[in-house]
Amino acid sequence: MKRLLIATTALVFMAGCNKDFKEINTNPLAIQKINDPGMLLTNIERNTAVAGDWAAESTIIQQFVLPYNLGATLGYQFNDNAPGLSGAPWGVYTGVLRTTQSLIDYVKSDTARPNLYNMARIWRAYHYMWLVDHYGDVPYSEAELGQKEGVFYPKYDKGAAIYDDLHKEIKEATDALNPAKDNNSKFDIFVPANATAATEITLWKRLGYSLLLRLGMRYSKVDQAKAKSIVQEAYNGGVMQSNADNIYVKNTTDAGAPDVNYTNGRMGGVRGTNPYTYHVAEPLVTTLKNLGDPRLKFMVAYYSPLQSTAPNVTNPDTISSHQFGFPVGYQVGGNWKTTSPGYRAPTGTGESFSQLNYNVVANSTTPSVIISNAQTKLLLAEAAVRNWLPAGAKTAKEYYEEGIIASMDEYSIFPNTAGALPTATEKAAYLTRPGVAFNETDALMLINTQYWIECFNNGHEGWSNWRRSGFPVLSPNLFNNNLNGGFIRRFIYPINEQTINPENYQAAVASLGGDLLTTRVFWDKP
Amino acid sequence: MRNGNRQPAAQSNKLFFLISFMLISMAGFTQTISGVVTDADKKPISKVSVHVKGTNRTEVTDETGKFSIAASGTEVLVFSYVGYLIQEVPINGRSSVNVSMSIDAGNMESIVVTALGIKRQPRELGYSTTTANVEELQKNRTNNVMASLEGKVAGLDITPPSAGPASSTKIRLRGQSGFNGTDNAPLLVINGLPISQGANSANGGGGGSDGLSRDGGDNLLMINPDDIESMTVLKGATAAALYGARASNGAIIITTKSGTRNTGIGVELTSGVNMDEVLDLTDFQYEYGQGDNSTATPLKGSRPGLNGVSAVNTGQFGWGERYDGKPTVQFDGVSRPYSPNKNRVKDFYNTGMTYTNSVAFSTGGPKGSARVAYSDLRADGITPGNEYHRKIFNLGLNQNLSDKLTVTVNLNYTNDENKNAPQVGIQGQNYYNFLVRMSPVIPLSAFEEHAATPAGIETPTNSFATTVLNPYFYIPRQFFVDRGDRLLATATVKYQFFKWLYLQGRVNSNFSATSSEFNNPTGGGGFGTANQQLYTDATLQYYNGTYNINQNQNRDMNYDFILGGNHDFGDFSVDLGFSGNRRNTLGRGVNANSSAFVTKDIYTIGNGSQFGQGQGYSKTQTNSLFGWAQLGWKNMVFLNVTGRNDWFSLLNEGYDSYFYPSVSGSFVFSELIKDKFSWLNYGKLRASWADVGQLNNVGYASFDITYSYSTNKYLNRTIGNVSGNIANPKITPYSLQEKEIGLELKMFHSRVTMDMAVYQKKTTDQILSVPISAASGGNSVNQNLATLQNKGFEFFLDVTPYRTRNFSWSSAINAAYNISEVLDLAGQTRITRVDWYNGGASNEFIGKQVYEVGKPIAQIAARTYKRNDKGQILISKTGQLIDNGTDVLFGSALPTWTGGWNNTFSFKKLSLLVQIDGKAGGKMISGTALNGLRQGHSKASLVGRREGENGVVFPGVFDADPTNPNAGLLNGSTPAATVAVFGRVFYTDYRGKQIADPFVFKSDYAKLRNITLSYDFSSLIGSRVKFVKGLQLAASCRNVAILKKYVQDIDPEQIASSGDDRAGYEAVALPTTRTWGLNLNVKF
Repeated sequence: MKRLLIATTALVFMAGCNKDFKEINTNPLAIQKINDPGMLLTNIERNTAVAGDWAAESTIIQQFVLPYNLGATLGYQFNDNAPGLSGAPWGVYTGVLRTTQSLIDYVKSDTARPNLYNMARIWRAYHYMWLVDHYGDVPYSEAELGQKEGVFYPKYDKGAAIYDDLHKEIKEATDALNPAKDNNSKFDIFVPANATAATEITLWKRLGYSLLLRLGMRYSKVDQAKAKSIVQEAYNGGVMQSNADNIYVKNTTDAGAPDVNYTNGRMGGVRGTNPYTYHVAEPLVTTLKNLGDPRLKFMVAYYSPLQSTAPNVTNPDTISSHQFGFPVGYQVGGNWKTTSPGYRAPTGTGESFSQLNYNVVANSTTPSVIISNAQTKLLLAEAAVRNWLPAGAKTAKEYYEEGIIASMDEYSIFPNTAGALPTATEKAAYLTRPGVAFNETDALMLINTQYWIECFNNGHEGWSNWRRSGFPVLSPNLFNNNLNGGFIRRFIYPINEQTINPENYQAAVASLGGDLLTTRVFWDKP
Repeated sequence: MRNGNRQPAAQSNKLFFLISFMLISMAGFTQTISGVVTDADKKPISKVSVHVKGTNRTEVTDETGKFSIAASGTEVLVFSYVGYLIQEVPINGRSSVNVSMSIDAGNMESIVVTALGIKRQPRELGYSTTTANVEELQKNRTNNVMASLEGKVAGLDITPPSAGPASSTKIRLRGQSGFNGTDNAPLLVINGLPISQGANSANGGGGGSDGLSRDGGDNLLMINPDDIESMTVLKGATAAALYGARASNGAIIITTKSGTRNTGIGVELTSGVNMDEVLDLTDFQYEYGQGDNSTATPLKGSRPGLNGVSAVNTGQFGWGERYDGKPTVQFDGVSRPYSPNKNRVKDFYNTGMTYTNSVAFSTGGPKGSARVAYSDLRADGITPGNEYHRKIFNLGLNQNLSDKLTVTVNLNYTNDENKNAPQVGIQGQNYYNFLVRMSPVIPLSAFEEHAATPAGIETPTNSFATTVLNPYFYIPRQFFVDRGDRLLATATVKYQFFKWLYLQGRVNSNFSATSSEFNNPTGGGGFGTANQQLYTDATLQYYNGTYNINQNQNRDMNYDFILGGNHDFGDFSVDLGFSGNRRNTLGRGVNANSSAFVTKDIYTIGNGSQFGQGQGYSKTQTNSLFGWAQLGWKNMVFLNVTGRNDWFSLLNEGYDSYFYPSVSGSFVFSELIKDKFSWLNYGKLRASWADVGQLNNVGYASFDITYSYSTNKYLNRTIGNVSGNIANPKITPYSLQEKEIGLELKMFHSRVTMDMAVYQKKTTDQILSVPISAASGGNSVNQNLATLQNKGFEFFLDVTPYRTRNFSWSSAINAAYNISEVLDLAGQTRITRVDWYNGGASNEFIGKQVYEVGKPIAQIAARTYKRNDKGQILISKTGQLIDNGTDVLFGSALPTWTGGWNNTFSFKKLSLLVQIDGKAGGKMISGTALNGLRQGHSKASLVGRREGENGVVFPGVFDADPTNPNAGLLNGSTPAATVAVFGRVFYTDYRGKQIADPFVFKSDYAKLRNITLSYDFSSLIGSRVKFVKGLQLAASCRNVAILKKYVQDIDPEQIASSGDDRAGYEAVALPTTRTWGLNLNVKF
């Protein structure tokens, strides 16, 4: 007994260390090792940040209006900062970027998964572009290090420096994609689940270089030599060839049926509460009407009487002459009846102006197009105008017309367009119309106006390209004098960030020269 | 449902006779020596051990000092009692031996059980302890033994919530040491097994075992007061310092009985019955009945059926006409007299009954003793359907296996079942909420008869359809059952190498298997009117309702050893100990729920068509090494140093090891001056310092990156997710430093005893969840921040002003003052919200609890009236209230003063205990007062509708602020407000604008807490029935009277939660009760 007691004592005594702690503090129920890191690729593709908010990016470029100032909806329509809108793009840090970084960390040293690793790098670069385009300087080199290194208050990097690194990242990662290596198509939602590695890698190479083209073109105002050089890298690498190369997130099942668990998140707000308060803006409606654009019927519709059930109407009035866009810079209520240029008496619950075609572009099953062949072709057209493409490339006119046709054909992946897609005759006629027909003098205006129309459902890309190109020429929203007759060129940093990470925030504001809606990101020179 | 179950009493009677029979056959020694043991003042001394030298025959004296023992005329009796000199008295052929014991000057104090179960003389202690009077806990029983200690111990703040017969209690020693979310209750040490109090309180929207705001009890419910041998309260961090990271809130050391050596066989029976009488303190208005006055005509309100006032929509409003007894339509379409039904609370609730029966067998020989006890408690709560049944089996055993080896085993097994614990503190399925918020014009019988429509849906009774629910719909349709099997087990082996050196090994275990099960019935209004239909799906025809079951197993094992020794070297004494402990905890749980039932009203998983489930697991290990060294000089000066190092598996390597030291000293100055001041029996100065900690809020396995899979596939692919929040790898336990000095005096033959303490403790590095830059990948992370201070003093005075042979009166006063201050929050933060009583999941009524730097903790915050420079209240041009636009602090919810006055009168065999206790210095915010006013039930709501009044004309002035669109006048003048506003419209603004002024009260009270009368029949019976050694009957009344309070309509102790975040928030807890008790104790 005495020995037993001493032995027990010794046992307890020996326990005075911490050798088994790691094992004890590992939860056997938790999934420590994911079945396959490719499942995280599915996640980050599905959760790609694409278009932004109708009331934010799309409103800035005068494609959309929420003309009711109800306090809660005060925002970009009224040239005011709205913390909810400004903070939204920042959310990728805790969402898709956190997952992307985890995936990169997971497969970085896995020699069997180089393609998965490089695809994740491209996706990370895509999202940092998204952040720089919205805010300017953002945390980059110290971002996503909370869990790994306990960096909870990261410093900000300059937008230009981040872009330099993104250039390197996209180039390196795309170059390194190798059809002889791992095939991730069973996780990759951009290709069929049984696609070969060759199919998948071909698509991803075109995706990577098209993204690089987009990045290169962003320099057009600030560094044309650099722009040209990157555009050529992208061109030589091989950009998208046809609409089959379009990269988009489906909001349907493989069979094309609605998937109740995965709908288009961008449409929740406009379809949900009080849909009769949302309208398409006058500049876009007028442009489409003036051009006799066959895409109008997919984009715009008139619902009468205006009501909450508009999203359920399957045959809205899409006749061009019945469409009226809501004038920019006016608010329902007050004296807008007397001062608004196109005031129309209300019908039903809301105002008598065109709305989103809830059947097509604002359907809960509408795809989210991330990078399209149409965008790529239009960017090439501008590069050709600027003489940045190598020998052997097509002419600006050819790229321009291919881009417009690609944009029209793109609607084939949208819901409820079967049988209504523009015919070859309609397309050909459209290309000859005044305001559409290509001419060298107005080339940049023509190309970028088409880019603006193409990006109707991608406010982020539409806004970035408009800031870069200056086309189409839009009249500033003069609702109040907050912007001094200018435009919103940047999002204000999230309120949380200002109070939580104040030192790094202040440094970034000093570097940017202000934290205003009118402050410009590095590639957006006046 | 309302059947008081009297079965256990009958069983106990049978047992009584069985045992009596057994013992009669055992009785009978031929020669009996008897006598009386007294002290120098001729006062009898009880519990003196009387031992026949050289035999194993031992008896103890009774309350009158009498004993009788079998012995022959040539033997020698040995009398011994703690604090007195041992006397050996030869019998010399006498049949009666009377002895006068004299005080052992060197050892006049009783022994104190301190940390780790180490027994010490009080003079050695450099910190404050109080030993509870266990006998009082047994005479004046409460289901949760801790509730009986309220008002008895200075600095021990007990707050029993009013939440049913199996409630937890809030226990705080010297204030609240840490912020909300940390474990602020003292450590419980039961036979050496340290366990958390584990209060599973009803905390508003969450809390309780089901998250539905029903009190799930605490670990003290496992203790039957009859089994307690001793209970010591270690008040400060130094006293508990040997528990390291579990010491920050002090400790309560409970030792259960394991028999007494040399006492022979004994049997003890205890039977008790308690009757809980519901106290209805509502003092509502009974002038105006159900109706509304928010419509234009008529001004003073209409009853249902007039002017478009609906009986259903105004069920909860008392804004109608003056009662006149005329038939008026009610919610069920039936017309009944328009007159109030008073006493609704008393009529609805039952008289609570609690029956306790216990039996204990004990035996004690020279080498060991044992005791085995079983107790059965059945309580029918005041709430219909609430039944609590608890069985406790307790075993204590100690045995010398050899001269040097002793084994001690203690087991405490509890099986309990608590059915239908009442929901408290939130609206919804809360019966009291319904009773005090519905117009008294509707009789209870109407609610009962028409609770459900023929289709089985709850009949709408009022327009607060989802929050004010008819109890009579739920009572027969809803169940809520908590079940538990719990085992506390300790086995100790002690080997005494030499007289001065021992080694002790101990294993102890706290094991529990618990389950909770509940449903939400089909058709209940709590689902919301939209979902109230029976079928959730018209084609599948499923019935709504929900069913949940949770099952959990928890094991907490401790293994420890102590190598201890002590030796005297001349004037010096040394006591050293070295010890190690390993603690392993393991928790496992599964839960499942179902809904959309196929067959109506069968609540099982199998009957559901929609399911959810979950699984939980946690495992921890804490390793510790510790030791102490005590140096004494001349039995007068003592210095005690302790140190403990804890290693935590929950923390990251490099941050997992912490050292906790303490130093304390005592100086028995009376030793120096006893010749000069003979009246001073004992005087001691003490001082101590300790640095301890606590690890809270660090989740199990929180540092790993783990993954999960989305429930739904996307494009036939499984989506993988990175799960979990970001964890701070550098997180550490919080740290608490406490300083204390104290003075103890005993004077005039110990007729005056005094104990004073002053302390200050500071809690730093608390673990708070702090927002971080989202660019780090997360939104918040735990960090070590914030500092909280508590300081205060404690005072205890026990005087025996009068003592004669037959009569004595002793009077003890205890008082404590504690004030907290938040010294620092996170970074630049000056104020942080702890809980929001009008928002979040609970969506209750009014106010918040906040912490603000520089202020005491637990501030009640809300809006106040808007006032002008002169302090006049401003009113809008429509005559309505305007709030000040920002929260103001109304004061701390925690009392600063706590105390009690306990008087014991003894007259021969009769003893009378009278206890008064109270608290002061805190505030409370009353949801009952708010609802009473805005719904037109309280007397305060009469303002504005009495004769000659046309609405509320508030005594304020018009607001002239031009920026206010509702400003009364723009010319800068501030005439008195003159616009009359309908009462319902006016008073509703208090909630809408969160203006709390009329609803914040002092929570102070003084209560005549307890009167207990007991009579010891032992001597009467003893002469006739030899085998009965003791018989005592006690009658008690608890919560006799509220002597002083400030809050209207409720008892200030009518608080729902024992948690910290809802301190001071009153909203629809159970009414408090007055308890009448009768307790019989028989010893054989």
